Amino acid sequence: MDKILEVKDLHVNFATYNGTVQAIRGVNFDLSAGETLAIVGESGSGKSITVRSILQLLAKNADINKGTILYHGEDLLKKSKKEMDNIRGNKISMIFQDPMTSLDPTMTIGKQVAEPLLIHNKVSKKEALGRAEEVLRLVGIPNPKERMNDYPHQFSGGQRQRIVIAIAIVDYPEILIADEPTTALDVTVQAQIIDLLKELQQKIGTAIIFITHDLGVVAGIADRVAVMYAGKFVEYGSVDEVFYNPQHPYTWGLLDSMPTLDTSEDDHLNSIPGTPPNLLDPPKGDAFAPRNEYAMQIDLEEQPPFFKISKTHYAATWLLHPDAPKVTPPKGIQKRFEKFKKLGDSK
Amino acid sequence: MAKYILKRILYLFLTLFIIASITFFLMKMLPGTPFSNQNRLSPDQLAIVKAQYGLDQPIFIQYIRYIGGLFQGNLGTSFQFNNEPVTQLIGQRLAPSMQIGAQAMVLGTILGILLGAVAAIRKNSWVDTLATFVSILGISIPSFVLAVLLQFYLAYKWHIYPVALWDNFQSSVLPTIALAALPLGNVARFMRTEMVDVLSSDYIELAKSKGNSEWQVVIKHALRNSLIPIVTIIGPMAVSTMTGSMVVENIFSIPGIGEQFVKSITTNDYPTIMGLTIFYSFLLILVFLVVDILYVLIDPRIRLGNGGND
Repeated sequence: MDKILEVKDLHVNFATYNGTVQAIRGVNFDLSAGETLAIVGESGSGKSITVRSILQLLAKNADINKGTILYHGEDLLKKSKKEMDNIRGNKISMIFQDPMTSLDPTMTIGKQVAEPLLIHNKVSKKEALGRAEEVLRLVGIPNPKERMNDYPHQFSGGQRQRIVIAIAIVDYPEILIADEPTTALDVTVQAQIIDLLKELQQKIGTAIIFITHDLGVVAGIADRVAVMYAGKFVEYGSVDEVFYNPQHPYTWGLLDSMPTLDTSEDDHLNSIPGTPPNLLDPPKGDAFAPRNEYAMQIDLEEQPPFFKISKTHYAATWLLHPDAPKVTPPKGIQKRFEKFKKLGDSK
Repeated sequence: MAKYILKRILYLFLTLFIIASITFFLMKMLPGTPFSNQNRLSPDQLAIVKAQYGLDQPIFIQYIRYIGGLFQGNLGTSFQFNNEPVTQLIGQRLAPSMQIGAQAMVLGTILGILLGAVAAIRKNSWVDTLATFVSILGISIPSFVLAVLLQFYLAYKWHIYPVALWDNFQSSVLPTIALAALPLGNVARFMRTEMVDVLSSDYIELAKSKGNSEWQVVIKHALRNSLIPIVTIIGPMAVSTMTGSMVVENIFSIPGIGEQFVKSITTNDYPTIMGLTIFYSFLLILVFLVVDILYVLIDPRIRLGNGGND
């Protein structure tokens, strides 16, 4: 498949009063046309910063000090301000986390949805509003014609997120970045929004980078999953590979802390002990080592490279080194391995 | 909305009535009399003059008479100022004061909004520092000090504007600048704070993600949202600019209304004091009504009347 986006060796620093925070420490990934990549990780792992770097929507104290972001082979980091304006909202657009605060409270939603069209295309106001109405209908706003002239406060949270999505897709972007689009919504609405995104993806063929800390959401929408920890990817692969054949102890911890249909009342959910490292002074070795019960001496001394598990599946843990001792993963993960075997057998 | 405005206008008159009543009795407590040459008048002469102006009646009767006159739109005649009817007196003097006040408000508000906005957009730059400096000066230098400085340099030394004259627009420039400093400083300060807040909000980030340039974001989204608190301070400031202009009017010899207010108080010119108080109150209440209507125009979340239900 065509790779439309390639992020290579991305490093992002933040200048703070306490020093330089190394928020992103070498992230590599690519995105093919029409696919969905999910980036998961806990708060502060750098998911948002990674995708915001693509659109260069970072805080003023941020510095993308290393790496390239190739969009159709051209480095976005070398584009001028104006060239980036032409890409935002047109080729690459973004859905934000909190629909309650993401819409301009003093502008009608019709105008807000039509705005990207007016910025990027030579269309009349009337045409743009007509198209906005169409897209509002597409995302499931009832009576879009009448509601075009309403203001954000006249809509519910779920409806507002639909409007935010309408703004993002109105100009048929090639890449849609969804930054925790369901986190602020209640569970039933979450499911509706995920379904809507899938439906829209099929209709307009956009690729999606989906950021979340909710693994349950990932399974429903992603083709591929990347697990992020302390500013780096630790494991990535297809959904089945990451969910049923996870190799990194951090992925184990994440999956084991999530209830499944097999979880009975007597089972208790595991949590990962400790807290993520302070990125003002990142550890020399594997950032996860201090919280990792499977950590070895080398984890503290040297950062693990990515080991290949399959053509699509990689994980950065010394446990995959040929010389590493065999470890027994948690029970929940062993069950997942069994499922993965069945998946492989049935194929 | 029309119904709401009608209701507000009704309240306006009710409030004016209450203010007129309170002022009437307060004024009667002022020391002194309206007669500057009382010592030279014999008791008989004094009685005749008092009777002529109705001052011989008990205070309550005077009050009834005055309020009765008010309902007919009669503010009485001035004791001083050639026995002119107060309405005519205010009418003549109103235009210069209003002109300077309005010019100063428009100038101060617009410059203040621009200065505050630019300071917020270029936060922590030299523009920001300059804006802070200007607004501190504007707020802390009294308008009459600024007036004298302007008069000395721009008029007396460099002859750009007349020193103290009232005929054409030229002569209104210096008093306007002197009066505009305070609203400029206040508006700039509020605008900066609010704009910094607005610029860091989620909907501004979304506006950027649509492909708006930095300035498009400000003009289309940030400005209108930052204006809401500005409207709040503009109301009272507009009134204080118009009433606070007395000293500045004096410095530039402008035949304004403020000057007259001071004179009428020092001479116990009851009908003029009453008339001006009622007029200023009317202005203040009217400005508040306009402010409330502006809110609705700027912020669609605000609805007038019915506790926000309609």
